[in-house]
Formats: sequence, C-alpha cells, structure tokens
Amino acid sequence: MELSLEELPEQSTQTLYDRQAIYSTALYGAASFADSPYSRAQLKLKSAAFQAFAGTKVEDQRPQANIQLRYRDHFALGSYRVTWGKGLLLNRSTTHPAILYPSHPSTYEPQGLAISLKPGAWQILTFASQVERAAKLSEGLITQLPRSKTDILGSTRERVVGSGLVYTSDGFEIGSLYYHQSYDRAFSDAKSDSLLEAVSIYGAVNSGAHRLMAECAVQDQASIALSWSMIHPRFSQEWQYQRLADYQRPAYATKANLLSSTDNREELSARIRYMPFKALRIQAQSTINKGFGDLNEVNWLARHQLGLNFSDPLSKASLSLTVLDREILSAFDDNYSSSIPLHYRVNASLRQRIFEDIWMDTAFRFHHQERQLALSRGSWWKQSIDYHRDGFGLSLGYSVWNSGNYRMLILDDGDTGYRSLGKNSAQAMLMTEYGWKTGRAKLVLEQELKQDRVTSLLASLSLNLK
Amino acid sequence: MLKRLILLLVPMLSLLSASVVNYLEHSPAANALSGITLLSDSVADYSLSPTIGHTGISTFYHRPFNMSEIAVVGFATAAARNRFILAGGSTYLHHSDYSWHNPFLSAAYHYYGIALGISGHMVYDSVKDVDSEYDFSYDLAARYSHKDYGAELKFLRVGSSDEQLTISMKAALSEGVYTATSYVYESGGKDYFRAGIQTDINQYLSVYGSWQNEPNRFGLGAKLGIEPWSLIYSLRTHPQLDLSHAIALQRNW
Repeated sequence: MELSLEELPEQSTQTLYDRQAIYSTALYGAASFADSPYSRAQLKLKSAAFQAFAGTKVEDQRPQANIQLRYRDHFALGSYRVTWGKGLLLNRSTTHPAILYPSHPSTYEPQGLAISLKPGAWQILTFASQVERAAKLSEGLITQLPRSKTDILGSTRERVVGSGLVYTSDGFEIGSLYYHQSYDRAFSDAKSDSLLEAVSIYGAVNSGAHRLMAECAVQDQASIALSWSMIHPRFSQEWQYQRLADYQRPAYATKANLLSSTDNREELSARIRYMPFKALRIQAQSTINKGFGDLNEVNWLARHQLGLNFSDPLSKASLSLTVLDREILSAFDDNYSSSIPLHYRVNASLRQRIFEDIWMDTAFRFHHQERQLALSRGSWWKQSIDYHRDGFGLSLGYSVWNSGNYRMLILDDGDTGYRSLGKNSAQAMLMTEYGWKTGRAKLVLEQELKQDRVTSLLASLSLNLK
Repeated sequence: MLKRLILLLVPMLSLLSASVVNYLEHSPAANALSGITLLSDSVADYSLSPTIGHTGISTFYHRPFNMSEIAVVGFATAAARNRFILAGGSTYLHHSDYSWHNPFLSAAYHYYGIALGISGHMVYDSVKDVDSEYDFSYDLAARYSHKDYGAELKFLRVGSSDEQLTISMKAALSEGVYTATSYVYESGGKDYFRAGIQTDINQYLSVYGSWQNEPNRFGLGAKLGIEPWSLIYSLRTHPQLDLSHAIALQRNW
C-alpha cells in the first residue's frame, strides 16, 4: 500500500464523487475530533449542462480548498485533472483522454482552464494552469515539491500548458500531446529541469475482449509504456511494461513504475484473475523492476501477490499473500538497515452473516521482514459485530495491533483513505449510521485502550437531491 | 512468595504463555472445567478446540490467581454455514510491563455426531513493548458424540513449544449429569489427568466442576442463562496461588 500512498486521498475523493454521481445536488460534510482535528466538505451542483464541484478541508486552522466550474465534459474552470494515455505526462487514462473532477483539497492539481472538444471523430484537448506551490528550498533552489499542501516557508510558481489531438474510430484511437511545464526557480537536483517540454504519442486498440494501449513520451529521451488487457467472463489478464529513460516526472503524471520512483529503469507487470465458479476469484500478480546500465544491480526488484476472494450472500472471505523485496520499501522506512531483503505480508478477512441483519466481521494482517533486529514483525487484528436494518447501522468492535518500530498502514474510510499505526496498542470502536432517502449520517467513536488513550470522534453527513 | 515470583517472571520469560497450556484456559467454562472442552458449550472455548459445536458471541474477563495487576480479556464469535462452523476470536493479557495477544481463526466440519476441525493461532508477547516475539501454531481436533456419550481427540498448538495431546471421553452418569475424563500429554513429557462434570440444576442454572492432578487443582463454575443470553462465572484453585476468577457474557444463536 505504501507504493501507492499518494494516490489514496485521490481515490477516497473519487469514491465520494462516485457516490454523488446520480444526484444533481450533493453535499458531504465531516468533522473529526481527535489529536489532529479537521473538518472536510465536498459539494456538487448540477443543472442540465453546468456543474460545480467544490471541496474544502480545514486542519490546524489552515483551510485548503478547490473548486471547479464545468460545462458538460467540454470546459472546466478552476481545479481539474487531465488524463492522457498511460500517464507518462498526465493522469493515467482508463478510456479516452478526459477532464476529471478536482482531487482532494489537500492535494496540488492544475488550476486554470481545460477544454475538451469533440468534433466528429476528433478530440481536441487543451489546458493551462498556474499554481503557487509550497516548495522546500535550499539556497533558493527547489529540493522538494510536496504533492500535498503543507506549511513550508518556500514557494514556487508552476505553469503547465498542454494541447493534444486525438483521432478515434471504431475500436481504434491515436493521439498526440505537447506538454510544457515551468517553475520560477531552478531545482537543486541537476537531473530536474525547471523548464520541461515533452511530446507524447499514444494509441489504443479495442477488439472485443482485448485492449492494447501504448504511450511514448519524449523528453530528452523517449520513455514508453505498453499494456495489453484481456477480459473474459471468468478469466482476465493484464500485462504492462514501462521503460523510463532520462525521465523527469511531470508535476501531475501518474507514478509510472510501481516499484521505484527513479528513472532509467524498466518494469514488467502481469496480473491474472480466474473465477473457477461465481463466488470464488483467484488472482495472481507479479511485478519486476530493474535499472538498466547499472552493473552493480544484478537482480530485479520484485513483488509477487496471490489472492483468494470468496463472496456470496452469506459469506465474504479473502486471503492474500504478498512477497516483496525489502529495498522497495526502504524509502518509507528510515529504520531499514542492511539485511536479508525479503518482506512478507498476509491479509485475511472474513465476513459472515449470522442473521438477516447481523454480520460478524474479522480482519487480520501480519507482516514479516527478514532482518536481524527483534521487532521485525507486526500484526493487526480487528473484530466487530455489525447490524444493518432499514437504513440504520450499528457496529461494535475492537482492534489490536502490535508493531514496535514499523509504520503499519491500514486502509481506512477516513479522509486520507488510510491510517498509520505504530506502537503496540488496542482500540474499541462504535459506529452508528442512519440513511434516509436524501441523506446519510454517520458517527464513529474510537477509544484507544493503551499508549496515549486517545479518544476520537468522526461525524459525517451526506445530503443528496436528484 | 510464588505470587511475587510470578510477577517477576512475567516480564522476563512470558511465563503465562511459555509454561503450560493451562494458562490458555482463560474462559470461565475452561476455568471451571480445567479445559475439558467436551463438556463446554462456550463459544470462547474455540480457542481450545475447533469442534465446540455451538455458535454465538462471547466476551470474558479473567483474573489469574486473583492478581489485580494482570487482566485477561477475550472475545469470540462463531457462526454456522451449512455443515461448517467458522469461529474467530482473540485473548489479550495486559500487565503494565507485559502484554500477550492470541488471535485465532477456526473452521470445523460437522456431520451428524462427527466433527473435524482446525484452528490457526498467532501468539504475540511483548515485554515493556520493547522486546517481543511471535509464534504461530495450529490445533487439530476430532470429536464424536452420540446421545449421552462422546469422545474427543485434540492436538493443540502444533508447531509451538506448548504442543499438547488430549484424549477425552464423555458419558452421562444419569439423565442430565454429564461427566468426562481427559488424559493430557505435553511435548515436554509431562502428562496428567482431568475429570469434570456438568449438569443443569434447572432451565436457568447450570453448574460445572472439575479436578486435575499435577498440579492438583479444582474448578467450579455456574451458568445463569435466560435463552439466548447467559452469564458464566467460575473459579479455579491452585496448590500455592490464590484463586483464578473468570466471568463471561454470552449470547448463542
């Protein structure tokens, strides 16, 4: 999960927008009362052709906000995201290039104007953005550009413009994009340039169950990303290959390689899914990554995953095993020292219906990293009883985690999409929610039973009108 | 003196987990029955046998040897699906300098009077949240019950230093009075016997009693129940230490 941490707030925001998709007016508000209290709101207004999206988060008395005014899918003014190809220059596209809703208000994203016009088989995409971003500076040079809005004394002005042309016919599309990015300060890293110009060409072929996609982005050198996916009712597979030459990651590009953030590397990923019968899904995934031209690096970095999912009206169960090279995570763990480099993770969950309205939930995670220090393993255990009836929900449970010196990240329904657990502790949890035709209210109370004995309360309210 | 000794040993050697599996008998029913699960109808006892055969939810508190410094709390649920019973739960021991956590998941297949089950355990213990250790093990059990008779064979904590083989037989001495005997063999070569009894005084009150040798201990408990809820309280003696108390609230389904 650490490998895609920066995408989680974006995903949680997208989940909120997905829930609001069918409504013309939707408001979501949440307030968290804990060690770091915050409040969050997200608004959507839609008339026949015009839409407005706005998000805000206030934490430590520091407001962050974004807003987008939109006409159909053609014009967006304010904060926006743009998808293109395999994401070497912009956000990764799953279908055609498009202008997306704003992201999480704490995340930097393009601000300005984006236009997408579709005359006939053609699509013209143009965008321009100017953002004043916080930056870590050293002697006036940029050392780091955080993706989240943070309180850093330094700042830099970022300008991004781009224009692309796409031709689409039955099952085939091809497009070309010019991208320009500049900062008013230079980078301290000699490999990063304050002025970046790039050209991307992408193509996609859809043929029944198959989809082939390729993007080539040229900065000083050409980097490529290829994918082939095949989807059948009971079997699917996806193959991906990325080769990054001298590549400076553009400001809003998707992280191209999963296992490494550096360039001059190539990565191959394969994923297969098989459903022997309707309720059971088996998934295997393998990703390998290697630098080219580095004679000291002999082996590929690798991550392998195997997962089982069972789901029917009475039971839901899942089990996954992940094995990954420890170096991949070293960037996230300052305590990492030289050791045998394998890292294992086991995740399991069981949800069983007891009565018509009552479920019992159990979830477990265990990780093991091969190293010489004693505290090399960690676990997390959660159990709850859930009751749901006529829009009313009640859940009572507890969790226990043991992870002495490793920051354990657990997926969560909260604002950022995850929570970070450290130290050995236990927590009791009470959740109640009530949904009606036009809204839903939810209250989550958590009491830590060890360590700092923190009490936290999260209250949220959704109002939706068609 | 021994009480002090245990308190000294707890942070050093995690005696509560490393000595004998006796210390895993935290639930009130296990406390009262000396771990003879063939007589138990407590959901919390899935941690000692995957073939308990009852479904519900149970939460308990246990005070070993009446030591106020140590608290053991547990939670378990079990649900049936076709001929399978799935159970999960955990037991947490808290001391200011020491903690011990044992979550488990179990599954059992029941076919008329025959039951076959397996449980997986993770045991974590930590001294002052600084030094810690994980241990993984599993239980295997087979049970046969027919009218007033029954038998159970269990291999507990296979793969750990606390491995234990238990053979138990059950018979009704008279109508509604169930007795059982157990032979327990531990991996270190130590073995001992246990005997237990369980009967219903009336539809609201049941009592449990047990005895074991090596060490010589008695267990006694009572269950007050108004279906489907029940409250169980038990105590257990020790030749040198104070009584161990346990209390549980349970709801069956």
